[in-house]
Amino acid sequence: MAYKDLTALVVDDFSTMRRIVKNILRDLEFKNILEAEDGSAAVNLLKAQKVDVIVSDWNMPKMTGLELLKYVRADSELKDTPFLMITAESQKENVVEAVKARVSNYIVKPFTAATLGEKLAKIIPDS
Amino acid sequence: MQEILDKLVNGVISGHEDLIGMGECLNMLDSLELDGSLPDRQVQNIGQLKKLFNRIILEESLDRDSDWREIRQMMTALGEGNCDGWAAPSFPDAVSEESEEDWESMSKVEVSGPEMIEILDPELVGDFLQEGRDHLSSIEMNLLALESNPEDMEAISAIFRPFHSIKGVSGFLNLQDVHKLTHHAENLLDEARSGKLQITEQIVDVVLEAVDILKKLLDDVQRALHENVPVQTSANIVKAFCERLEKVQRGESAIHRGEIDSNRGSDEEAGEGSHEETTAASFAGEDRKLDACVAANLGGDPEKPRRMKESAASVRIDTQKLDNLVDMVGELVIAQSMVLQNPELQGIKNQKLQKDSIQLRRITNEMQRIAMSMRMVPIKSTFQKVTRLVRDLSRKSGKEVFLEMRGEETEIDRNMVEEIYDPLVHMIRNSIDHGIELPEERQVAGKNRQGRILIGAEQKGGNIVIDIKDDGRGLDSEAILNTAVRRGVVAAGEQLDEKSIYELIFHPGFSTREVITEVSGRGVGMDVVKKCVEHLRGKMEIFTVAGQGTHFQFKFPLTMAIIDGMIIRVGEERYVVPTIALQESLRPGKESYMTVQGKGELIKVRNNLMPLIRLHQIFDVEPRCRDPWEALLLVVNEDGRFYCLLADEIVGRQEVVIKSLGSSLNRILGVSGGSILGDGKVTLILDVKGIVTRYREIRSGANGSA
Repeated sequence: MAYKDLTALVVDDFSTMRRIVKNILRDLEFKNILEAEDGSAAVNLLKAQKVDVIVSDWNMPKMTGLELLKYVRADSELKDTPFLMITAESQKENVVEAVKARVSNYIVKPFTAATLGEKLAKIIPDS
Repeated sequence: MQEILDKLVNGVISGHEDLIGMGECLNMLDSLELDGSLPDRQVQNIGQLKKLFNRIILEESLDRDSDWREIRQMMTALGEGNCDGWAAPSFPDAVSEESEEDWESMSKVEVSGPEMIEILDPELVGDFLQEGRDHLSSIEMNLLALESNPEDMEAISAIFRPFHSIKGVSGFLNLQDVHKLTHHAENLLDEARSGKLQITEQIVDVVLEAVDILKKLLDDVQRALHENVPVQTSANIVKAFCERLEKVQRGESAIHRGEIDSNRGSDEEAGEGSHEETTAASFAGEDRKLDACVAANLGGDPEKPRRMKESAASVRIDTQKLDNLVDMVGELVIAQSMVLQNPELQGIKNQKLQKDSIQLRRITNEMQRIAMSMRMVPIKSTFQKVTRLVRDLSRKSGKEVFLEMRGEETEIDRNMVEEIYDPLVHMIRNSIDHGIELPEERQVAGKNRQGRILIGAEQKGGNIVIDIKDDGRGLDSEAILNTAVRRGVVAAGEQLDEKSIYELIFHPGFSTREVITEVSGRGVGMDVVKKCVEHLRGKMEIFTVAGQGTHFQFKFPLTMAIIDGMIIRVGEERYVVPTIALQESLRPGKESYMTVQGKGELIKVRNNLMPLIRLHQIFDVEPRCRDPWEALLLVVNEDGRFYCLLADEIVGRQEVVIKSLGSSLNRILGVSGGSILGDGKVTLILDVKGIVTRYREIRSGANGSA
């Protein structure tokens, strides 16, 4: 899989968390990684740029990950973008809601690099 | 409806890996359920089907393939309208989460000793510490907001979110104590968020306590990070506290121990020693000295959080680099004036050269300004910490206090922000303890029951001015003077003006309260404030009206790197006197000079007698003028008393960059640093306090030998 040609968008309000995810993505050979600090920032970015996969946290101020997911799925251009939701084990029940909103997959914090890699492999179509 | 059923049966899902497909199925099942035209039994089965889906989605299924087969079967049956003979799906209790296994195996591999904090990725941990602390202060602010309005859902979310984020990252970084504590705090808040738990004062208390413990834990991590020494985890403290959080969550009345006053006397759980420490630790944030023992127990020397607000278009820079930049720019400015003031260069009469040098000067000045501004941060964070203090103190003392803040956006050198905090805390303590009266007392005096404290900051010229005002009882100059005489701070019968009397409260060991209160009587007095102010080269003024309140005003230079100085000459030497220390300069008439037996040389300035300090004697240089009426006197104020410094003349006034004299010379009395003047010559910056001390030493030596 040629991750290096894909653009990933990491959405989290906690910059350390973004870095963690970014580091893992880099190890997976992603070259183009964008960041947004909440859903609304992500939306602005998505308007300006093509993104191949979105990795987003659930809990964020202004616009949550679920709202972002709903926005993405409702947009005719973006609707097929693979969307990986990060959630915490205490809020796993929420996942069903995300699944209903057609999230591509989800991952529970804390996760390992390997798990994130597996989940990405599942949601990114082979090229 | 049949349409949906057909869709369901004909399979929109490709397998148990297909989450999107399952999501669609769930949506369809929802709409089927809502349809209402299905027989009850069908509805029940749809419920079962949904449960199965959830189990697979949540990865809680023990045997996905068999669950999957069951789903297929049920869906086919659903389509055919045949629901008989279904086996009820089994839901085993034991659920093992994939993620938890990961987590446990991670910890097993990476924790070498069971009790030491392990730093896995120093760079990330460093970032986390900073960000985590920022979050903690925002939690504190929101908690206080929540306390005044317990229904504020926005505030609950704003508190919940940072806990959640900290938890997430600490899990990654394998900071187990932090992870555990935030996890429990988050659970509690989640209940509150969903309305199951009502926010009470006690809940705010316990969460504030959690914040305090977290601060300690972060300090521990910081030590583990920077000092390369093993730092013990605080697992038992965290464990005890988490148990308490759980109790609070269950609504059990173990909460009263969160109250400060009762926790020390309470021995009902004497077995849980760590328990008590935990509660005591909650106030360590306010008084580091007192709680040093607790801090040691928790393994941390509490350090104030550094704060740098991150916005989308900013970078974090190592402060050391920033300091170096400011230093180098300072050097550049000096080097530039050395070049431009070179006599040979000044001899050149070339218009272009003149124009270009003006341009160069403009650029370097601008550069210096920008470099300085990079170190500036808003004073807001310091003020915000005070909010918490006021809350705790007013509760403890039974007084009602309203805190007002002004000018929080005022910017100040980041190196000074932390230093200002201590004096600020002492002043606030003082205002609440001595200034603001008890509600009943205030009512009798015809005031609002609630006292007011205002803290404000503003930039005035090259200074930052910090005001602390209260509407309490004001300072009683008579009482202050009496106490001062009794404690031997001043001699009985000494003539002091009002201002000097007020300043006595900053004298070491001074306290007008007969009863030492827990709030401010901790052996450290207001002299701490004075020391800090001096260290920051600031100035302090007191205004007070009996019965109406007190106003303390502090003036600090905007930065520690540059001072506004008067350049004076004594003989061949030049010195810089900080302008902030000067009251006035004058040349006295011959008749103002007198020598008094036992007191040495005095100068009479507007009916005040001031000791004459001969700088040439202090620094042992040969002056041009020995007679004060031919020389120049600089009037300075030290410890509420005036002194005249004798110099030859004032050369000019200039902003100078302060240079340290290095460790070998930094204890010289009367000199606080060095500076390089425009012509490249080095001068000393005078320290008035040191000069006065040196003068007294010389005088007592002279008296002793005479």
